[in-house]
Amino acid sequence: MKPFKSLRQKPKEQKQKTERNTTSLQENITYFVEAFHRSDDLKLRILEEGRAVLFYLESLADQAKIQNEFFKPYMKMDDQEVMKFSSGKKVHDRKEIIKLLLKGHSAFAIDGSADMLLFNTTSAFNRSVEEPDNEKVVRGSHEGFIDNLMININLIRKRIENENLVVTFEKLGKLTNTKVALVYLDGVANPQLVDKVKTRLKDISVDFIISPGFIEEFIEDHAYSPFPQMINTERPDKTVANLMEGRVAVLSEGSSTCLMAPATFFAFYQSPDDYNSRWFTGTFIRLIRLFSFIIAIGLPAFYISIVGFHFEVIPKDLVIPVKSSINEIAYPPIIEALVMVIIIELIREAGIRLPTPVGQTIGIVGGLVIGDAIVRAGLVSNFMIIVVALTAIASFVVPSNEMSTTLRLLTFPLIILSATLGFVGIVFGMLLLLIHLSRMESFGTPYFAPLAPLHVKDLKDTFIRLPLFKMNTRPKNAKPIKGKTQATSREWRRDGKNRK
Amino acid sequence: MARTENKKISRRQFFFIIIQTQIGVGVLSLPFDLHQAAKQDGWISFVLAGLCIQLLIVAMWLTARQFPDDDLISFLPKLFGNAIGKLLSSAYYLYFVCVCVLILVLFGRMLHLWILPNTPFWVLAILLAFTCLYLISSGLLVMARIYTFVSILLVIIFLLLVSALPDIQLVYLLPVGQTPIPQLVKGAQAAVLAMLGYISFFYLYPHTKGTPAERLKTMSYANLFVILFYLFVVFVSFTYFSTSEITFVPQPVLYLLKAIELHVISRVDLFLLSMWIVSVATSFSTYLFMASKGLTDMFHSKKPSRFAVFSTTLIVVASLIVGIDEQPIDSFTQFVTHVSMVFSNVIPLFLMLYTVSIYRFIRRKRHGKV
Repeated sequence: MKPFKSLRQKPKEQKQKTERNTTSLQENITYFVEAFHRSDDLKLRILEEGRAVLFYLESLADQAKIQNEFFKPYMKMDDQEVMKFSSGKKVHDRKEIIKLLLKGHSAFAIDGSADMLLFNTTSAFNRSVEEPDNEKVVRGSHEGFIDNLMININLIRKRIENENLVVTFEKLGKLTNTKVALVYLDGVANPQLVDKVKTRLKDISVDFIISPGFIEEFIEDHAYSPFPQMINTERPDKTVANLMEGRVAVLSEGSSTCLMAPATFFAFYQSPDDYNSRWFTGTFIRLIRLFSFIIAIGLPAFYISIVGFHFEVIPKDLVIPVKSSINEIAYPPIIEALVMVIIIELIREAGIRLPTPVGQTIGIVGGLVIGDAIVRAGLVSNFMIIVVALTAIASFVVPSNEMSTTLRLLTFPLIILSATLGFVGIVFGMLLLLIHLSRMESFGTPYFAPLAPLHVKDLKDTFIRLPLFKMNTRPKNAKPIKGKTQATSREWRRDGKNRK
Repeated sequence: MARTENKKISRRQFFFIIIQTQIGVGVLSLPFDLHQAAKQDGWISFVLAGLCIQLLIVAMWLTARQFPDDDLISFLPKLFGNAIGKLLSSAYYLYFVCVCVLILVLFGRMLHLWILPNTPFWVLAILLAFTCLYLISSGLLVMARIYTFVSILLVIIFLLLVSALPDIQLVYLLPVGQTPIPQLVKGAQAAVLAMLGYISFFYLYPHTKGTPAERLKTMSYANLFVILFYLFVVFVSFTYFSTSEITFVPQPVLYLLKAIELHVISRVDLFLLSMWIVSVATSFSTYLFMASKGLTDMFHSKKPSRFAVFSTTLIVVASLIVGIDEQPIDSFTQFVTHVSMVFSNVIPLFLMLYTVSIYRFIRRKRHGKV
């Protein structure tokens, strides 16, 4: 490695704009290393004491194929014959070489020749890449990350065939030495953000890192908040979409979860499905999800405060049914609510790790039998069952598992506040929640944006989803350095009109 | 410098802070107070008060523009020297504390009368004060974000009031202009109490982006918005209740909504009251912010949280001493009204006169010598 050691340490030089290779090997290799922004998965193998180099993207190329296609014939030949490899393709156009490298080819370069030999060594992984269970979509990609870091980066690289995609590796965990990859799109991601994530990753000093959950807890801003502050996903398409918005992704060896920063509250309410369906539908579903947030967090509290404090809020036709339903119940509404919420949590926790058939049985026994019997026994009123069941369903509407757990946890303080102070309690609970959300920042981005602070332009992809051709600017959340994402796309339509 | 620039609030946020501070505890009882003073011509005194406040805003602006980087507490010593400046600063601190106490007891009494008759006042006082303490501890920028966000509630309040429009009788406004001037002035005094909060201009001005003229414009728009919003509330209450009825309803806005029954929910007034709590919290927070920031600056301290906690505790204790019985609250309201006349109107006016005449002269002389 000695002749090229300088490459890994030297500060960035001016990128050469030449399209053709020169005859100097040093110059050529420098160009490619710089073109990939010194990405760590660009592997250089020095041959012939520095007079020849084989290089490829580690995450895309197949080691066995390189052995077969290159090294086996190479061993049998002497230097002069090398360029006459039958399986290789001679290329001297640098852009072309970059393109091929991004497809998984490996390039062989020798000093004194402007041509490089390109071998097709694209890896074809046999391990199945399955759709993640907790993030299913109706339409769109059904691939998911698996537990191998290189394959995961491969899945991302396959979707972004661009030399600006940078991968840097870190070793975390003093004893486990877990390989962690930081992925971002140079030219879009904010350099300050990248630096921030890098410094925080480097600052981790623990013996072992098992999963991204560990990393998240070490690098997030507010460890004492109930809200998740990094987007968690097992979907490559979601990762790619977020990288394109200027976010930074963190993957780790041995885990199929990808972490992305910075996150905002509303990012947890987005799903790739929104973009695969028509935009009316996408908007409608998104509004339903946000409505579910209000139900999940406030419905039991609202019901309790009505029943306990403000009975007069119920319209007069409903007063008798409600009153007759709760008249027979021995316990105050707060006890009813707490009992029901805890029962639902029990059923959920019991069903989650059991095999599917047993899980269903638990669901039926828990949901139907207990639900029916508990009303007949006079422990909980009909209305409370409806309210708590709705709340539970609403909390599962959120596409992100972490956020849904948070919501169910936040129901408890609100129930207690509403049972002690009625509407006033709810108002103060919500106000505290709002203050908390607005105070938080995730890697320098306000967590509750674009509502607080208000970015009117970014609302287009938060509450609603406008047609894709209307979204010409990137959301400001990740503070991307390149604002525009596209020029006008549906020009043919305007042309058509003009012709008429 | 770049960092302070980032921490400045935008003019939109400035606008919302002002309206959220001005619209507060008084909105529910303002029509009643106006009516008591000036009968059906109360709205005229309200407009008068609004115009006076606009003049005051210009006066405050003339002062503030001389000190682009200083808020009230830091420029008082520059104007009058250390001793008098400190004295005035302390007086302002006490004034803000008094306003906080007034907001707290009015809030407590309203909740006591309308929804929570059995809850002890100290629970409500602590809840409100410490929620606001949590809010102001996050800094002006976060406050601005939240104020902007909760302004959506003003729209909802407006829509709720619109639902009362079919039942109004314009004839209740007649006869116009029969009230003698002294009573109109008395009404204007009550109106100023409801619109207090423009003094926060002195605190927000150095922390807002934009040229001096732009900031004055934003402030004027905010004032205009507040005048129009209040005027609408007053108009609906005055035309919904007749001149003789309104003397029996101390919170006309709530009473008129109580009668409305939507199909899904009854008792809309309880929802209005809940939203009003947020408005109260925002006004309270601004005053608490001004008080604790003033105190922190006076001691040149780097630990603002201590002073904030101290001020909050002081306010809660003082409000518990005043209590929520009718008699002490009324006399305390009178007291704060008079004090406000001095601190929110007379002193800013005096500051303006002093700044544009004497201070300018002194400064020019000082510069001339150097």
